[in-house]
Amino acid sequence: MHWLIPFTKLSQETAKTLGGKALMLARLQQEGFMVPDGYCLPADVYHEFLAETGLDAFIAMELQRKDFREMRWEELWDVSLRIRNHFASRAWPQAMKDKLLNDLCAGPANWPAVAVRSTAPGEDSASQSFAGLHESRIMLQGAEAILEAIRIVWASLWSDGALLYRHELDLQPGTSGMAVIIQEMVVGDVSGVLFTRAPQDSSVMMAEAVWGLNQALVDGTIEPDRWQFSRATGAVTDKHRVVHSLALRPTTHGTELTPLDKGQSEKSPFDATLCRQLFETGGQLETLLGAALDIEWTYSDQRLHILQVRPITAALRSEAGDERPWYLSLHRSLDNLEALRTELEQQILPGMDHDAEAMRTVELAQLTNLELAEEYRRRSRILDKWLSAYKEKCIPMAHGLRLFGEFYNDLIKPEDPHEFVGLLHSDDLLAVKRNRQLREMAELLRKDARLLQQLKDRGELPDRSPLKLMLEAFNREYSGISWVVHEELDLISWLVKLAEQEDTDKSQRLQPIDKQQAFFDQVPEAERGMAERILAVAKASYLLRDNDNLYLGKVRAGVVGTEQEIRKRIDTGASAGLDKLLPEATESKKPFSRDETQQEEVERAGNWQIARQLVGQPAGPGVSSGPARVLNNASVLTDFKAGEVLVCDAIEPNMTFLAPLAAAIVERRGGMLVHGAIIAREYGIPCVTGIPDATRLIKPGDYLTVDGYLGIVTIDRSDG
Amino acid sequence: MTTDAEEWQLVLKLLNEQSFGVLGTNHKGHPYASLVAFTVTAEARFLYFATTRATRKYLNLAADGQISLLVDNRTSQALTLYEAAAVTAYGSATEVAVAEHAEVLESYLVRHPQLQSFVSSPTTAIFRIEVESYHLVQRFQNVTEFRMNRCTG
Repeated sequence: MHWLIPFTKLSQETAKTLGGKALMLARLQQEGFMVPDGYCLPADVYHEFLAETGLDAFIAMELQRKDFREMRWEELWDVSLRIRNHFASRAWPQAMKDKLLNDLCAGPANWPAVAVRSTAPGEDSASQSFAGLHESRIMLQGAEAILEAIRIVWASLWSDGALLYRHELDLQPGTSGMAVIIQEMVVGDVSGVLFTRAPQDSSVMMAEAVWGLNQALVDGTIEPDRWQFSRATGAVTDKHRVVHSLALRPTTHGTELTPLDKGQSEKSPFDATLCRQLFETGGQLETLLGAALDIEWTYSDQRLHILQVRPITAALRSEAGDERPWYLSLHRSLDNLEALRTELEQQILPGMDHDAEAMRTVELAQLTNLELAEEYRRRSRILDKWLSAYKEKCIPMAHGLRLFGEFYNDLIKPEDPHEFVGLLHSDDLLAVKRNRQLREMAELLRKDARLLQQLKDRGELPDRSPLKLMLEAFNREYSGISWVVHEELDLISWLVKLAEQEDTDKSQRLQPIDKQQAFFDQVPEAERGMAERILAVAKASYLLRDNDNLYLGKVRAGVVGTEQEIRKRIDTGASAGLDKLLPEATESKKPFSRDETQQEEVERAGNWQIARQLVGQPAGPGVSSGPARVLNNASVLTDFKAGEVLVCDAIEPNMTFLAPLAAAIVERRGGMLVHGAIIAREYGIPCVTGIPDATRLIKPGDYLTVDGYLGIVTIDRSDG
Repeated sequence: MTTDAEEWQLVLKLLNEQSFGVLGTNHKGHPYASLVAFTVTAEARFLYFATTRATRKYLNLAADGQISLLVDNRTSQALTLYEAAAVTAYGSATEVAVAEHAEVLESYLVRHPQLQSFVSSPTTAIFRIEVESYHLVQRFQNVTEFRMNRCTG
């Protein structure tokens, strides 16, 4: 009995273990359409692998660790990465491996190259429409490479995208399974998608085409030509042409974007034969299947090959307020991320810096109320512009970390799926640089007892003193230490506080260079260039992920500055024309603030129910204890004392200066790659993230033990 | 989000759905665990169980009424580890006077009808646990304490 079933033998009876995608391709092949030949590995084999390796229990553990309703998208990615790592690091049970190798060597392993794709059983036609939730691997050569790819495709049953749509897909640990398609690779000269009814105009067909393979089209790296055809005659009714410069082509180790030669870059990928075949095949398929279709195709030697067919359903459209399509769009290709990095480094961040600097030069006190109101509105508009750039450009850049994480884990198969973060540490992290300068200023003050006493007595810093000059430079560079809170933080009293305690330089002495070398030593020669590019993008992503907040913070500081000036005038009764400006502004410009109603809940709950131990995500290794300093909107950050545990909703740029003094960090916002986790790792501080309601359940002064290895916070309350 | 109310409901659910719990008593400084069939009052302030007077646990309780009672919904399946929840009641156990037996047994036997002859025996004692606090453990490691003396109902 063979596990692999050829397309020619697939039938409706096997639907339960094969999935709709495989059945569709087999049916089209049986109907005489050009479909690359293939085999299907039923989901039974997935279940057998889980049972043999004990993976089913691990998956259940990962999926039940925290209520999905309380998980952010980043946490779903972490869950997904851990599951993926379990799959990648499990050795094949020998008997299974032998049987599968036998099947592969008698069939698909003999093709020059194959594609391994997912086909999840139980998907109805609507859920098939959620394209891109599961992984595919293309250009694979040999049985071993196929075996590796099968595990990755299996793991993608639990991808972050699939977990987002878990209800629609009816994902259940224990019962859900994944079948796999192993298909001969057709390397097309041109590839694309065809909608038999265009999304905007159902009287025409619409096709998109790029040179080379169509992965670059699907992930948005290459902009396609977009043509429309009359559904009645096939005549081309509209041509949207772009200049093509790149094509995704197969290489010895996968695929790569390669420049087009001049002849191709000036031509459209569409030609008359392709247009006619698209029109005819689209019509035939629609008649056969009785629905409007979304068809992925490739065109080789003037013949159209069908790669995938899905009905166009309402499921493709998302409801208002459903942010899941946006989350899915954060998955970016390497090329896309490289372009994004350039844009961020050369345009977005300098743009934010430029605008913030321009705001600093305006003397607000000199403005009339009318001018101040206008300045406030102008700055708010600028902030809105950068907030939207942050969402569209900065957040997607974070995917660089994920891309590297997956590459690293696939290659190294580490025990800790987040081991890769150790290679990304950077001395250029702005928050760390800023803290280093604070430390240097405190050190200067510590050595000058007379000046220290003078400042403690609220004296002024002497003009032209080295500290004064450093302080001015610091303020110019970073706009002070805090931007979001309303009280102006007194930098000098903070320095006095730092100077009065032991020097605490906890910044990590990590050796990323050594770790990098160890990593590159394991990268096969052919993939070295790719590995270098992915690591470079990931390091930029790590750096930008924190730095972009600081740049945005500088712009926000400009808005806060006008708010403070307005408030000052309101307080002194000189606020004609300003009164109505602020309330809406104050609330709307606090993007990360938590829900104020939670305080009411605390009071309502009284003290009969007490959290004793809370479980989150281990985001920074180590264990440490100390009294809790619970930060909320009313907190005065400079009250923070060394040795306290920082408990907050989310670490914001205005809080990172506290990190070197903290015994540990506990954060409501979850994820291994959130700012709190990054800064904690830089300082080697135990950190637990993703504790729902951390700032509500933990009370100021509770004595906490933070276990950053296991993600557990134990609470010892003095009255209990 | 698991709200406070949901957590307390989970405690009540465990106490009302499970029939048996592990009773911890003190045997000369050594913890002694035994399985008991229990029942709970509406507000979960009191728990009742029965034991014959010749048992080790009866002797332990006669010497020291401080007890704990673990009630849980575990199965032996690894797949359901995170679905498991356990609640431990801390409190003190005192024997119910024979004159009050009939009233207590009315609800006890609704829960454990098969124990009719056992609890009717003159050698059987009924104990009432006055609960000081409950400790709920769920999702493997999350621990919440409920202090009954501060409960406003």
